[in-house]
Formats: sequence, C-alpha cells, structure tokens
Amino acid sequence: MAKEHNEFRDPIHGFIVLTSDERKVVNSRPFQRLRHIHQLALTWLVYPAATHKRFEHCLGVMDLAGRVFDVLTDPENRRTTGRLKAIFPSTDPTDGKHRYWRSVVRMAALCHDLGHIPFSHGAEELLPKETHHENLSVEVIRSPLMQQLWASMTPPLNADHIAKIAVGVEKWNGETFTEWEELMTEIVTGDPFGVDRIDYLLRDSLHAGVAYGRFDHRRVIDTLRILWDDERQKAVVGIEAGGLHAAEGLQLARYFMFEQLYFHRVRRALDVHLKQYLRAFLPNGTYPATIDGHLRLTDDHVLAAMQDDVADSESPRQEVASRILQRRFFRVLYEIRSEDLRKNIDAVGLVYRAARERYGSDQVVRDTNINPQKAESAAGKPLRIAVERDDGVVVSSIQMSQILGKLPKAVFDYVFIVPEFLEEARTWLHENLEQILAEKEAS
Amino acid sequence: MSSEYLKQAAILAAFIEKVRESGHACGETLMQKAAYVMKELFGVPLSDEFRIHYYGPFSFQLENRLSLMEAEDFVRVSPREIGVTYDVGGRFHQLREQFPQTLAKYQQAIDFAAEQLGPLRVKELEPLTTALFVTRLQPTATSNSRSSKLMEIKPHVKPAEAAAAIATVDGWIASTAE
Repeated sequence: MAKEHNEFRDPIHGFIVLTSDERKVVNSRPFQRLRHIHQLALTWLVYPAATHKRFEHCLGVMDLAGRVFDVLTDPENRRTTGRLKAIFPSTDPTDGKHRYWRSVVRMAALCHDLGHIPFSHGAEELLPKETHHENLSVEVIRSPLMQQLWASMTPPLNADHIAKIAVGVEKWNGETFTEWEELMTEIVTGDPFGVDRIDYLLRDSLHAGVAYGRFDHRRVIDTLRILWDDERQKAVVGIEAGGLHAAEGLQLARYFMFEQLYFHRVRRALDVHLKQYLRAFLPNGTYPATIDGHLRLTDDHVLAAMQDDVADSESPRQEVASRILQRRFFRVLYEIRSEDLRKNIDAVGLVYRAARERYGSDQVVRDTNINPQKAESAAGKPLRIAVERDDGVVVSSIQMSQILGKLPKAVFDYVFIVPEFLEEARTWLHENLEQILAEKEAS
Repeated sequence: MSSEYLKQAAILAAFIEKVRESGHACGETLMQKAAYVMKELFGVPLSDEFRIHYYGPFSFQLENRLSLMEAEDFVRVSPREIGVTYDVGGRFHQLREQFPQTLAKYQQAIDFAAEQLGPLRVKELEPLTTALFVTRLQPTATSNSRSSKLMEIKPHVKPAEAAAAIATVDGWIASTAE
C-alpha cells in the first residue's frame, strides 16, 4: 500500500511532510531537475556555502503555503463583516472545497519554480523575447506529463488553478483572477507576505552565512489575516497590529539581504560574465523555448562545459570562462555616490559613457536595478500593507509603523571595468570626474 | 539609472507637483491613470506597459518605477485619511534643473492630466481611462460598441457612465489632435 505521508528533513522548517499526491510531483522529472539549479546562480563563488538548490526551496515554500492557508482560513481568524462575508468559498474547513484549495495552494507553491532556467535569475534575459521563467512554469504545469499527475489526484486538480496561483497576477496571461484566486496567489507570490519570499530570505541567509536575513517568520504567519482594504476596495492579505514588529523585521531582513548578498558587487560582476558565457554557449545565444529543451538543461551542463573551456586554449569561450572560474572578473570602477548625485543626477550614466568612450565598449559594463523593466527593480521596495488595529479598523502600515515607511530601498548602479585597466582607469576618473559631471541635458 | 529613466521620473514628478499645487491628493490610482493618459494621448515617452487590471489600465512596471523614484527621493509618500498621497521629494529640483527641455516639451500633457484627472475619484477614473483603453483597442468602432466593450471589461460600470466616459474620451482625442 502506498505510504500516506512522506517527510523531508529541512534545515529551516524541520520535517516537511508531503501527501502521496505531492510526493508524485516531487518524483517527477521536472521537479527532480530542480536539484541541479542553484538557488543563487554563481553566488557560491563569493559565499562558498551558498550552494543550495531550487529543490529544497520549493519544498519549503510548499510547507509554508500550507501553514499560511490554515491561518487565513481558520474560523477564529476569519473576518466576516461587509464584503468579506462572501470571500471564502466554504464556511466549513473540513469540506471538499476547502480541502481542494488547500491542495491547490500547496501544489502551486511546490511547482512555482519549475520554469527556472539554469542559474535561476542570473541570466534570465537570455530567455526568448517576451518570455520569463514564470511562462515556463505555466507551460510545465500544463504539460501532458504533469496533466496526468493532476488528473490522478484525489480530488483531481485543475492545472490552470495551480498555474495561476504559482505565478501570480502580474505574470499570468489569461483569464482574469477571481477575488479568491488573487488571495490564494498572494499566499505564494505576494509582496511582502508571499511564502516564496519568506522561504528564500531564511534559506539564503542560512546558506550564505548572512545572519541579517533572519526574522520572526512564525509570528508574521500567525498574525496574517484576510482584511478589507478600503482604498483599493478589495480583500487583501494583511496583518494584525500584533504582528507589525515581525513585519518590520521582515522588511529589515529583506533590505539587508539585498544590500549584503543579492546586490553584492562580485556577485553582480559574475552574473555579467555568466550572461557573456551563455550567449556563446547556447544555440543562437538564447535559452530553449520548448519544454523538452528546458528540461534537458541544468547548471551541471553549463558548469561542465565551462570547466572544459577554461582548459582549452582553442575555445572561443576560454576568456570569459576563465573570468568566472579563475576569478578574473570585472572590477567596480565607479558606483552611486550621493555627493556626485548632488552635482549631477545622471552621474553614473555620464561616467559609464565616458569610460566606454575611452576604454571601449567591450571593456566597460554597467549593471543596475534602477530600471523598471528589470525584475530586480522591485527589490526591497517600501512596504505598504494593510494592518488591522486592535479596535478592528484597517489602516495602512504607513500610519502605524515608523520603520516601514522610512527604510531605504535597495539599489545598485555599478560601472565595471576589465581588471587589466582598473588602476589606469581609476587615475583617469579621479582627474576627470568634475568635468564629466558638468554635462547637462543636450538640446 | 539611464537618462531615459530620469526623464520619465522628471515628467511624473512634475505631474505630482501640479496636482498637489491644485490642492488635490495624488494617490497611487491617480498616478497610474494619469501616466496612461499622458502616454496614450500625448505620446509622453513612458516605457511602461499597461493592461487592464486594478481600476482600468494598470502597469506593474510603473509601480516599480514609482518605488524607485521614492527610494531616490524624487517623490515622497505620506498617509492621508484613506490611503496615501505622493508629493515631490527633496531631489525633484535636480530633475527639473537637469531636464528643462524635456519638461517644457511635455508641459501640456502634464497640465492636461492634472486638470482633467486630478480632481477625480477612483470610481470616476476607472470608466474614463478604461474608455481610452477600449478606444485605442478599437479605434474605428462606434460609441455604442465601445461602451459595450467597456461594460464587458468592467461589468459594474453602468450604461450611462460608460457612454459618458466614451464621449469624454472622444472629446479628449479631438482636442489633442487639434
């Protein structure tokens, strides 16, 4: 007889328990592939223990999603005044509808990263135009292989429900979300309380050895509630006032993790070289758009080729492979300085253009998250969440918290240069910076 | 940050300044709808993509853009009775000094959006900007057909509101084409 429950040991959450249906998904080829996708791309070349993979992250996200679902739907936590009365599909937490949505949310959390390409976010811009990893997650979830699994479950699950909740409103191209589906995807993908974010902060912090990422996630989860947001005229996942300090801890953790880890200058330089390498390695310089091509490619394939290229003096990829593996990566020539921004608001752009002109476009690279078209631009944005005061009134966190409204957003704007030119370029920049910053808008 | 990003920031912050000088609050919904109207009616070079979402045309990229502008103190956010309002930030003056030509070029768009949309509530912004979205989608369709489409997208909008919104938008298009 098939085992009803299965467990994984996890360094963050202790034992993660799965149902037999969830185990089938874990055993599938698309999910097992995640054992070979690093969570943080090449960060292990900076923080040596950051070698964890998408596999364990997805298990953690599923575990947390189940917990959040239980807290939000617990009869004692339900707010049933006004329009919230009609939000819950079922008043009985033991009935089929309730159990169906719990399964969907956990499954969506488990599958939310099935579309991740090698090195996760490190080289996402090499996906075919208009494609992002969430599109691939949707396609994998809808693939015949996975459809067979969904149909075999008790009760059978709808692939589109799982896909919608897994990728969220922003990345979904299809039928509009119902109010309930929007709340369910907030559990997984929401900002700031999505369990994807909660798990990656805790997990990345542990593996990188950066203690700033810790916060009281249990308190955050226990105080989450479905609330009515009067300004947006919709139901949202908010927090009881008693959880506000824990939410502030989450925001602080997020800010520090971006500053310390995700936007670390060497990590960013390695991503620049990773993209250069993959442009030469991948057919036509792009990741495959088909599911079969996607499932065949992992970090392992690329890293093995990179090792070969470093040893092969005939390889056209030797130069860039050695920049990564022999630590000859580009160095920071210039980055945002507030004193220079006071002189010219486009200081980094001007330095970048001047350096390119002097040293050549192959020798100088700019990397920034100050670009709304880039996913990283949303990183660590100021939080505005719905908070339920002790008297039952729902207000914006901006009225309740001194910290949430005041924390700076994490930004980076680096001008990198080939290390061979670094010293000369620093001297040049020191001598010419004032003149470079004097430029104003051209007519 | 690129020059294009900074120019777009200058235009959006100048709009906020204009609305606040008129004595109105400038909430998140107004920012979304005004940016859409400036882009669609006046060709203001905002690179964000809009689709129908919260209360009509909405852009997640614009949401990111505003949070970046907040981080750089080009804009500030403060609470009001319900929700928040944007104000210009401590570094807006640098944008104005750096990009005088850009601001002069799009001043008409900024004034139009501030005057026409600034005094409106969310419930009034939604049918109007959705009407513009529908008109861009079906530029040759009749008023009735566009009204029907608007109500299909936003079923809570009443027929009279939809028809009025389409007529207002047609008036906008005619006046800006002159």
